[in-house]
Amino acid sequence: MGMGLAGSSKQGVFDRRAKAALAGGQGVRTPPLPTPGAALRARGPRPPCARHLVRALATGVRKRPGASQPPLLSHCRVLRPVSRSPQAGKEGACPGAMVHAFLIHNLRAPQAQDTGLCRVLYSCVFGAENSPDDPRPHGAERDRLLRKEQILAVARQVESMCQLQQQASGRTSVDLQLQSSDEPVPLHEAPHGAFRLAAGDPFQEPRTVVWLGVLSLGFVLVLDAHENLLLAESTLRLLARLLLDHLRLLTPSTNLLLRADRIEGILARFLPHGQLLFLNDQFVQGLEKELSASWPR
Amino acid sequence: MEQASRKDRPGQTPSASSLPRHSAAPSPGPRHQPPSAPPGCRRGISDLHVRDSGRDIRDEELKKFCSRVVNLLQKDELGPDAVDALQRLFLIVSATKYKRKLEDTCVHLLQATLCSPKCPEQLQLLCASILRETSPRDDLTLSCDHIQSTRQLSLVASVLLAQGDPKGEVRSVGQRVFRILESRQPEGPSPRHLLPVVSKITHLAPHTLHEDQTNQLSKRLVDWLRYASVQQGVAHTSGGFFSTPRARQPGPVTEVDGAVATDFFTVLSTGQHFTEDQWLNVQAFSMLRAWLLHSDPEGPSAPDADDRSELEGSTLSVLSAGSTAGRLLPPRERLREKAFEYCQRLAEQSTRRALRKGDSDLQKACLVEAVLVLDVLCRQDPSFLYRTLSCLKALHARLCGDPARVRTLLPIAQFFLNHGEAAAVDSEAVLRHLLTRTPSEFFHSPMLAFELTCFCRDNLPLFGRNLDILKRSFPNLFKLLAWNSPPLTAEFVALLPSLVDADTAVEVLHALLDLPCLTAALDLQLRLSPATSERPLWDPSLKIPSCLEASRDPQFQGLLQYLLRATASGTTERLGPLHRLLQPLASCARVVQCAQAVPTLLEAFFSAVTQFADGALTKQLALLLLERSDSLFQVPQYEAHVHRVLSSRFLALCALHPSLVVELAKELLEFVGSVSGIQGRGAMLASVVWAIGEYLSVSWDRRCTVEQINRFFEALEAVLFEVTQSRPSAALPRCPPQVVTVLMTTLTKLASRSQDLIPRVSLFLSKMRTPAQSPAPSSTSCEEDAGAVRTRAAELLTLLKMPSVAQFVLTPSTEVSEPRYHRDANTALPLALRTVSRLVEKETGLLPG
Repeated sequence: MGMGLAGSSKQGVFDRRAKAALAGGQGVRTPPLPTPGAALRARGPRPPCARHLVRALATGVRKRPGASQPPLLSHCRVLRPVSRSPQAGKEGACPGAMVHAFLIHNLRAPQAQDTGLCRVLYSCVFGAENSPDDPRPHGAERDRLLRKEQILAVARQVESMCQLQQQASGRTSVDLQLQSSDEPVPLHEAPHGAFRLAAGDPFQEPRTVVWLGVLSLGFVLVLDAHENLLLAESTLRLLARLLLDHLRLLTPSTNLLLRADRIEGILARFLPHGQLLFLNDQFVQGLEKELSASWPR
Repeated sequence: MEQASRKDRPGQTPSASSLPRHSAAPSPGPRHQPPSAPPGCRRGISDLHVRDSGRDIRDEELKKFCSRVVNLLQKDELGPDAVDALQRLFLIVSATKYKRKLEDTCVHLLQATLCSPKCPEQLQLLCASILRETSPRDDLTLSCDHIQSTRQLSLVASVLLAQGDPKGEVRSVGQRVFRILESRQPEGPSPRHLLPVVSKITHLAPHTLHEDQTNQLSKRLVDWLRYASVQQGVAHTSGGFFSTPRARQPGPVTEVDGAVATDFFTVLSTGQHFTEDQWLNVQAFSMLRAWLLHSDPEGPSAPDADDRSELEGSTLSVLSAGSTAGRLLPPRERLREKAFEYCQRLAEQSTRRALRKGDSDLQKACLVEAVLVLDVLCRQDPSFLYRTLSCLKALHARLCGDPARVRTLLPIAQFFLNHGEAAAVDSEAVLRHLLTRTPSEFFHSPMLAFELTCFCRDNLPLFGRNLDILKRSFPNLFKLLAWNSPPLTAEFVALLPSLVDADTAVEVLHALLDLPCLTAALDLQLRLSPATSERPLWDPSLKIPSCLEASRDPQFQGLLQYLLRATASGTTERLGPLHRLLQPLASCARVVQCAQAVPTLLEAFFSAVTQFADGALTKQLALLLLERSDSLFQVPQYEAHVHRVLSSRFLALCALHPSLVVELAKELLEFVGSVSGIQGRGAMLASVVWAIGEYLSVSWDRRCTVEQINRFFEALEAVLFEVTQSRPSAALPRCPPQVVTVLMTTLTKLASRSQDLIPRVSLFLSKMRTPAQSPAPSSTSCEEDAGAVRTRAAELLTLLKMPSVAQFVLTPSTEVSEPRYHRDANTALPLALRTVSRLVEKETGLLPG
């Protein structure tokens, strides 16, 4: 069973995940479709509110991880208006048409809010957002921490968006989990959506997030604000399909976290440096053949 | 190993279940350490302590592991155990958000392995990802100067670009990449892997490339875009046993519908295999829009943009349009010319019927991109405008009737908004179609809803005189919001101020209050319409046969049509019957989610509306608040949350226009008189009563009369009596003490203004002061409440003993807010305060108990 469920704190989870890797054991597997019983077995302090932490990091105040989880309906709080004019965003110095980050995280069942953690299983940030000048020592470490918190903040928001959408369409997570791993996953029916992140929360630039929920996994692209969404959406589906196929993510014993090379191999071909590609079916097949040649399944 | 993992029982800690795989694995001691404390204790200082001690141990373990990695990487042959070790190392560094200290030799070897020419791709990827995961780091010696393989260079670049550019990494990568691109050896490394790097570099640091480099790449992009081979590529033989020595003659590339290609190669041309320049064609088009924006030195937002748009007029563009084609153009202009041809070809290719699902999706994405590129071209060079317009008009006409491609209408509308004025074409029809038809048909598509909302929000400054169309189509836009409230609430908070004006404010407010009802109505509409997809769009677990049945009733039909209207109607209908009809849907999660978003939206609405509302509109809105406070769709918690906003906003409206109270005297009396629903409307009643106490005074409105004050007094007295003295049954919840104290205070205020009433209110207050005759209070909070009421009654009673002081304290004149009042010890306020507090203290001291 996944290690996160046994974790008693965020750090604890990471400790043991890493330790298992060190130990040469099976490590952490793909979050296996959680069983209701397992959900009750372990309980830990909730992760810190990522928004606050990110903001605190950006302003230089290290906030202690509190016990507050961002509310499920974080969108319902009053949101401050973005002062940037849309034109400024569109025609700024660097015209936005790239993917900023790709991540895979686990999706918990809505009822299981108190159990486990929203964990980022894999993330790749393409290039670095230019960080504000930080003269203090450990600037590099803080930058890395900030990046990780940003990604986690995105994952949390995607998780709650996905849960809300699932609830709204009357699909409980139960019917998601009962699916046998042999059947192909109907990706076109999988919950998906998009939302915006205002400038400064958590990224400096305004971003658009496109997400796709497949069983207990969330696949996410963080885009520049004015990317071609249709292309981003189909690229995300393509990536999800490839990852599911080539990593056999839905097979119970598959270990996603220890197969970073395959994920990287897929990304390097289908989303090189965060560049969305206009690939028709034959191009996709060509790249897939190349991939299979490098990594025999 | 696999076997062992399957036996893992859920909940087991992985350290216990994991088996050591390598003899070099660290000692089992720390691995088997149980979680050091129960979760509840791991807070505060102990948490830090545990984390620190944990980190120390891990550092040691990590050290050992690093030396293992170093040993493996130093071997000549990097085998599967090296892969395994690197995979683990990646997990270790990526699983924590805090820094992991890797040995210097280890970092050094990772870099060396990454750059080694004979290292297999798998290991290179792992090295790159580990280095990237630990970045930004200061001890990187990586350089891309001597790397020949473009794939490897791309990987090294990914590590360097992740550093955040403290040492000018972006520039050095850029220069190296360009040196390879410039070399142009036919047998040299393919630039295919480098174009995304260029894209990323220009994105991260737009000024990295020199002018001549930019021109050079523009030239090559032209070649790749326009002159890629139209013959299919040859199958890559991997040199296996079965490869035939003589390759078959490749055929021509085909269109997505299988026909032989009619013109040059594009991303919508297919074949069995592709040549290198065809791959480059794909890369080139993928980065085209960003490159066009980058390579335009003036930039579309340059200060002369306004002058240029004036020049974009018809005659100039017509004249220059034909003349550009023949001459040899500078690279940038030539690239634009070829980009234009490419986009036109894509538009033509997208009319073909794709054989594969993937290609049909790509067609849509290509159409969107083509229109976006055309938009950029026309912004940069108005001479394209004339040619583009005819193309886009035809495209729009074609796409309007195609529900599968509805999302491609958005960039077209964007184009018309950007250029409509310059091209002397009215974008009205395009916008009208987009805003009146699309939302009502496609509100259930989360992506379309998101895109359309963002389109409206981003283009607000461009709508110009078409803003009216946007404003009038708010009922349609609200459908997007009602169905997809979680991702769209923030967007609508930003959009609302532009949708609201003096004409629409009342209707918008009604629509906002009815938003959860709209969600339910949309749900009903979907259930009634013929099924469009295999999976229902609504919650199938909720069965509502009675709703479906009753919705055929003509009375409801009319109301439903009104609620589902596409544009503002200028009228308001009472939707009470519809609320009752849709009640079974009120518990559905989508309706509840929408209801949760409404308070935020109401706040945004009122912040916008108070910017421009005059007396008449304020009066209308205040009336509407009173009226709607008891006719809301019954969603759990909805009424309470909305009342909280409405009551505070009612007070704010009164503060803006204090004469509202006098003007609305009749309605307020009615509202106060119909106190039966006090349970749900406590908050609302309290603020109405408070507003009466504050603003029913001659000092706010000359029209206020003693009779009016007396009438209000009597009405409020009756209310107070009803809520305190005559409770029909103990089972009913008590009236909240806030309401009681507000009622008492207001009565006292009114009495201080019409002093004949003082004996009446004093009598009442002294009754309140004595403990209620009700049976023993059940809980302490109840006792506290009663205590607060008694204290307030005593205070007010004391005040009333000196009517002039009472009037001064309870109805302070506006002078009080002047600074003089607070500075000068001899002027009234401090003196009065002292007197009052002395009085009150004395009196409270005498109180029994």
